Amino acid sequence: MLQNNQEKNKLKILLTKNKDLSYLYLIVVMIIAGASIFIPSFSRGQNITNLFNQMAPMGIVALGQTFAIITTGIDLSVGSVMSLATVITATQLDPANPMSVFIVYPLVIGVSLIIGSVNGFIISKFNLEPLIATLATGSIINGISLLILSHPGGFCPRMFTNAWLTELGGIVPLSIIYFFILILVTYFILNHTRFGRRVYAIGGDEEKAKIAGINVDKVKIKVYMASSLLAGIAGLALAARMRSGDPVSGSTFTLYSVAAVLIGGTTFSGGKGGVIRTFAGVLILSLVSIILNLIGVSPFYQNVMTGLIIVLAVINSSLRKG
Amino acid sequence: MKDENIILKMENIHKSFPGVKALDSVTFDLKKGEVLGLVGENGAGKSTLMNILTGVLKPNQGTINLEGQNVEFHDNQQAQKHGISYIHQELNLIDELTIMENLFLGDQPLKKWGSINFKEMRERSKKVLKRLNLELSPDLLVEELSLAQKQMVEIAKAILFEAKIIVMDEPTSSLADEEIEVLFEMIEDLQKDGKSIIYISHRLDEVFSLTNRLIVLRNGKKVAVKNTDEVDHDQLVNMMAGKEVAERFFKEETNFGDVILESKNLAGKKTKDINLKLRKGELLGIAGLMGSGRTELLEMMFGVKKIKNGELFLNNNKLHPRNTTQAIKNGLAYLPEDRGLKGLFLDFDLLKNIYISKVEKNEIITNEEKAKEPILNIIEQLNIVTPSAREKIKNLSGGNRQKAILGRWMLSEMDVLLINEPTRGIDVNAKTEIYKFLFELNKQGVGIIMVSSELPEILSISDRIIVMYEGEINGRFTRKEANQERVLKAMTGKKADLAESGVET
Repeated sequence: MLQNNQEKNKLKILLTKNKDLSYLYLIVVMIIAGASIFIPSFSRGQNITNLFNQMAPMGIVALGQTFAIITTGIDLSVGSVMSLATVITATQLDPANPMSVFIVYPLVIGVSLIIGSVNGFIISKFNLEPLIATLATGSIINGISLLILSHPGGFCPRMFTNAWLTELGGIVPLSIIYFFILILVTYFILNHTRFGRRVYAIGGDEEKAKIAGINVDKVKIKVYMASSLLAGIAGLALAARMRSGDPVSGSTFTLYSVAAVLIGGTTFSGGKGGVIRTFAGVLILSLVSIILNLIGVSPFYQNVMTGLIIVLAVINSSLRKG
Repeated sequence: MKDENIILKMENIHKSFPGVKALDSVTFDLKKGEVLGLVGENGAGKSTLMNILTGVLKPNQGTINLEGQNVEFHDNQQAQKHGISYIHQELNLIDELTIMENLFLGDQPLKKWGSINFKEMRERSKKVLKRLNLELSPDLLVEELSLAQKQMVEIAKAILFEAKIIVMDEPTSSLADEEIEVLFEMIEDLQKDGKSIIYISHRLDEVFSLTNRLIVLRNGKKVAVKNTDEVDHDQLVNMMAGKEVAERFFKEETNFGDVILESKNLAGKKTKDINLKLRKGELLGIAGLMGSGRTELLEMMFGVKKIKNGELFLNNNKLHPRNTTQAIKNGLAYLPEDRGLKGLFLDFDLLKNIYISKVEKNEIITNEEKAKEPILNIIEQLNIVTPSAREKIKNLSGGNRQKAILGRWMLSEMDVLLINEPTRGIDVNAKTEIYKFLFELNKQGVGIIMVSSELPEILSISDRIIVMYEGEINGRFTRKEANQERVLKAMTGKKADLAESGVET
């Protein structure tokens, strides 16, 4: 009576686990196919490069957001971290001194890690809601960015942008390659390390994870450090794309990062989901955005569209659960 | 008395919580390969004792001696490493992870480069599952398992960690009969392997059939340690309750007022033709088996379940309970069965928990201070044992929590109280206080309809009794006419002698 039909169950798990994800990628393929047929300019090399360049910052920051959301948390400071990264990059790079990149990278990475650990610390040690904590730190970071650079400006010299924008085969920019590498790295961390599995365990049930001997606070701090670090890297990609700094350029990415995670099917109930799902969300969001651009829809409608897609994705996920 | 066989000795354990002495000088030992039953009423200190053994709580005083060594655990992880596993009543498995991940949670085997060695995890999991005769794939998600299977996975975890002592807290509370048998066989196997088991259960028949020895706790004190075959059922109950329990607690005769609630041919999904009248100050007991429609009846009256047919009258006005908010406005109150779980805000203090429904009802700005006096009275009246009104409710025992929920309703003005299983799972003293409280409401003119599975309760505190069977009323008794036999007959569908009383319709 306790013995289960093993084979049947394996199949069931496989299907229930991945059915909706396969659908998502099917949707991606359909969007690409449709766009290639009906929008002649879509498959032009320059547009593909644009797509990739747009995708990289959004994708990288969304990878970090995935960590936070799996633990039932959220990181609303990522947009501000991105802005700060662009501001640091654009003000600290010195075209006359090539060595300045070796200051900028550690600086951005260090600052991001510090912000992440502060987020994680106040969330875990003071039991603050991640939503409130990161909203507040985001506002602080935003203020700091504006103090450093009150308006869009600064300059990113070629020695910096080349490392991100150089196009392989004239089409594929390096930034998207970094994104793919980061997908692999985050996938490995989440699925093949103790830390990663603890992230899922905490998302599943924090109390139980604690009883099982997991240091929940430590894991959470690391989660927000990861999220912030990836936001910092996304900010570097953004700075390269803009070739300058902008104290508010990251703000839209907060919503986009959450949206990509949700569209991918990782839910706020925690313990489930992952970066392969988030990648699907990133693809859908950036494809829709570039297609709307190509057919000449106003950016304002794009916001409406993004909102609608998120609502649909979330309704779909709650329907599946029910 | 040196005994080579003794694996664990807890000596002189004291533990106090704010205002409550949870454990008072408890001493006991555990032998290798025995099943030791740990029994006592709610709040007797069983969980506290086990939490101390497994490092979740620290004792104020006392020693734990494991295999001749004094030990001190700072968390349950440490206890586990010393071979003590605690299987909680609400199992400690994470639904979103696979069986093997749950088995190795927090302590996965690693490969050279620090990544998890899933292959080794799978192999070792298979081995341990096989040892327990479980044909489950280690890759199954735990959420796919039945409760019984989850329980087995917990046991597998204990074996994997090479537990010598396994504490099981109410392991059968949500298992079906066949599943219980499998569990018992497994416990016997574990026992043969030389593992010691501490078995906590409210089900005394299980305790008798399974355990070698018994330890009885009452109010934090050890009452007795006995070989199981030296005690019988009644002796055990008396040891647990402390005094000869006054089984029956009768309500005084009261005069009833006018009819306040009346149903005419009321019918729902599972019920039909319900005709009943409730008078002011009356306690109407509803008996019936599970599924007889007794809960649906209450829920129709309160607007939770839909009324398909028939009419309801409150104070002679026709009532259309479309939703619960409306029902409350009309002066109805309902205490559902699972209120213990859902009704309380564990992080709020006692005062807030009592005050809260008042807020919901009719105040925009809350004024706790104003309400403080009456609440303090309620706490006193209900005899809620607490260090202060500002104590967080999660620090109170089960019976006291239940009383707090009842206390809530004393604040609100209601005409009719619908109450479902008011005393399930609480100890005798708390029961008595709840009965007194219901009588007090009656005195104030509130009409009460009470559903209960406990026949002695129904028989002793109801003014009238209605028996339901398969959705219909199959018997009506006044208190004088009712007896166990008659009511049971009606509950099981036999046409009991339908007694007519003077006041009944």
